[in-house]
Amino acid sequence: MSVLNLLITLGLFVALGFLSAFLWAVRSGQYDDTYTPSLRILHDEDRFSTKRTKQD
Amino acid sequence: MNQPLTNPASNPLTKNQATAANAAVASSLCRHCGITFAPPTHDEKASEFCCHGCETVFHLLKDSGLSDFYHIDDQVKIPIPTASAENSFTFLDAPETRAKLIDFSDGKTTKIRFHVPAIHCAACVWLLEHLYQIDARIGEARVNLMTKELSVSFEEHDLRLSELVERLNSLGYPPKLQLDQFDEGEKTLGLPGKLAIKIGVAGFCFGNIMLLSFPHYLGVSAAAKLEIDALTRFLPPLLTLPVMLYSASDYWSAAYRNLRQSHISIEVPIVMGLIALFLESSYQSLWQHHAGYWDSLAGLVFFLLCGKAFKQRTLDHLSFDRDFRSFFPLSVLRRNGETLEPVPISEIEVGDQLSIRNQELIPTDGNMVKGSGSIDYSFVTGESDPVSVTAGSPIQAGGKNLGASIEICSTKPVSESYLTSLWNHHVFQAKPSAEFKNLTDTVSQYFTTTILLIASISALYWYSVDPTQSIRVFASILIVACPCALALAAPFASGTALRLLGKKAVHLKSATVIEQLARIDTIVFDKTGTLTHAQPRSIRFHGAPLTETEQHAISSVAHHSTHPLSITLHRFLGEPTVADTVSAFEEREGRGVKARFKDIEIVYGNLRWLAQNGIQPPQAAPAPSTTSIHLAIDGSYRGRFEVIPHFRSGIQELMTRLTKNYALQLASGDSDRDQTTIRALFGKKAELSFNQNPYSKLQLIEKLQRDHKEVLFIGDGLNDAGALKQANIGIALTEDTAHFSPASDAILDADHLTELPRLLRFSKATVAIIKASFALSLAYNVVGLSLAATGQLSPLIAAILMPLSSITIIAFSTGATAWVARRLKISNRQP
Repeated sequence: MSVLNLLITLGLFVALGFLSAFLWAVRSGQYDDTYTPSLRILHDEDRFSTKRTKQD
Repeated sequence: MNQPLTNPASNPLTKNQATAANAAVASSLCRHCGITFAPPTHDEKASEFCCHGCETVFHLLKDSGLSDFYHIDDQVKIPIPTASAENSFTFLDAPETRAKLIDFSDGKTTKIRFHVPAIHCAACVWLLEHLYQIDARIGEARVNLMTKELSVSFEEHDLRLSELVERLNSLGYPPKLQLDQFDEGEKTLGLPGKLAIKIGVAGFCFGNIMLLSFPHYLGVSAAAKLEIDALTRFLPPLLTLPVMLYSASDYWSAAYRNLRQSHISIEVPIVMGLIALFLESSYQSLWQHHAGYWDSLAGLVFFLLCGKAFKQRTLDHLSFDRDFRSFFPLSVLRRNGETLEPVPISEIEVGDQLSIRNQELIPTDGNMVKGSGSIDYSFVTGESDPVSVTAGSPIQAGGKNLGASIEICSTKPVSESYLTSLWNHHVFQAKPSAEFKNLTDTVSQYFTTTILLIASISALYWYSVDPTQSIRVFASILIVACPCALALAAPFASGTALRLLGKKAVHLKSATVIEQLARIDTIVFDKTGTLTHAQPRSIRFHGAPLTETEQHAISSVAHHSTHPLSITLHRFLGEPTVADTVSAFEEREGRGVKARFKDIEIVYGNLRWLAQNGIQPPQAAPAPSTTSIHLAIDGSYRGRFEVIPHFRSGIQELMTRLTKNYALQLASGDSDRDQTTIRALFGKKAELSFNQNPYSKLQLIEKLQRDHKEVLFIGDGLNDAGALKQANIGIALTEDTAHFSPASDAILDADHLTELPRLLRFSKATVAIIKASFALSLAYNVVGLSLAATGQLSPLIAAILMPLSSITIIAFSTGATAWVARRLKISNRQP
């Protein structure tokens, strides 16, 4: 049996890993809003306030 | 830094015009909202804020360490609505209302999503996401700027929902709480998300199958030599299964549905091709040790799904299917003994006494019981002059109260009022699906029959020559004729068109609207709000010129009245220097005004009012072709103010251009007093109908359609809702796309009305491009068919021909549409 068979199978599993990453990203809403995060990154994090850290 | 998504000036919260008008006297900029305002002169210390609301918010933000709000964006901030104790949201805490609004609750933490129309810039995002610094009880907040949505989580026990809404309201971000939002189902993965997953799966399978098939293109021996024969034979069919069963599932169900209705749509030949591909490939790769057409099969589905995704546009911030409930407020004040309590309008019962404040919409039919004033029905009837009402008068739903609070006794529940009954008309009941047969489906009908015919004839021919080849030829014809390119032409052309139009503030409901627009031959216009501006009207004075003192006197008197005509008059004459010397003010609703300014006696109104005060006009009054306000000073007739309906600029040119190619009509709810002006605009041939109610507008469209006319209706108000729905295409005109508009096929920014001829020409050009793409894809099919019919179609040729045809069609339809758009100046963006 050629080593290529092993490599093809491994390659397929790597690709499957990326597919599942894509599915996770779509399902968890990563693509829902593609604009607002680009603004959010420009804001300085709490320059004046040290009251509390962001809640989750 | 960022372009505002909506013009802050058109925000419904904008300060009353009086402040803007005052600006000329002495002005300064409000430190919170950036609005120019006149500081009150009698104030001991100069104010930095235009109102108390702004001042409160400014100090609140400063104390919470959120002063950065003023440095993030140079845009005008949002003015704060004047605080009102009556703005109570306590009805939100009722368990059933609450349950309908919130997204998620585990008994402790609650998550809720609001639509906040006021969100418009980076600073808004920043402020709303830092709410927890203002109020520690609020948890995480997230803003979506595109959809103007705010999701907030908070602790149920600490903070009531009504308090949260009040807090947002006090900051100038009132959430839009709508009844129809209440009916929304569970939040699930939306259509775009599902499609993305389907494309992802298809793309994954397509890519891997292509890699695995590659050795076979170099000949079976290549795969055998590398000893990977087994993998390359069995993996592609395995990888094709998710494509066939999951990614292509929409095509299966659509084809099945259409065949059951004995109707051939584009999905039928696609599914035929898919089946043929699958069977032929299975036979070849599992029994014959050949490559099969697996990559073509997966590629076909992948490209088709991409076309589908391209056609879809996310128009979350626009809603095309709103009904009457979107127009009404969420709650209304109901009298309960001595107090007023807010109740959701769905709970209004017959006999309830409701208090309607200034500028509020009347939610249901009723009788006036307390107060007197005038009701503006322009939204319902199109009649621009308000109707005056006194105790006992019947009041219809949809009117807007102008002036002091009134109380009405409801005679019908909300769902049965005059206004809502329009929505019970059959046009609103019928499902709007599949009435219009689009180009692709029309073509695919002939296409499918032709293909089946060619396949059968070739199969018969081969049966007589070489029976073993017969079935293979039949299959390969179905394979090569699979109308991938045909199915892609329309989505890509109209998808591009939709996108380009969206940039021009023309929002179409779906891609088929373009095809329908190209067929239009009759255009019906509404008048009020469509041809004319909804508000300011201009005034011309007929008579001996007035002195400056007299003008000041009239303006001062007019300032005391809340009647729209008085307000227009006041605006026209300009701000008086001193306003508090008016005495003996007397106003009769629907008649006129009489008052003294210093020692000048002013009487204005209609002729009957003047006659009542003992004043006769010098000659017989001219026929009222336009609305007029007659004026008398110190007992003698001085002339009349003519109120000129303010037509939108460029209307004359628009009409001249449209008359060449289209039949024009007018359906106005207004009286015919402007008939001469309109006749001049529309030309001699046009049919003008006045005094139309919502039903007669609808019937007018129906009548035109019975004469086989393809009707485009352009309107703006609730009174046009029926006509907009009935017409082949209804375009709703709106001053502010974030604001409400009735259900329609397209939403057009009011300032772009003059672009209509260009829009119609563009839709025609797009349809021509789709037809050209069809011709191109048919040419590919002829080439493929000639190969298949002679038995020369190998998997390699299929694997090249299929993507090549798809990609050229995509490139052609997208490129040509963009080119036409540039030629017609639809997209004039700099590159």
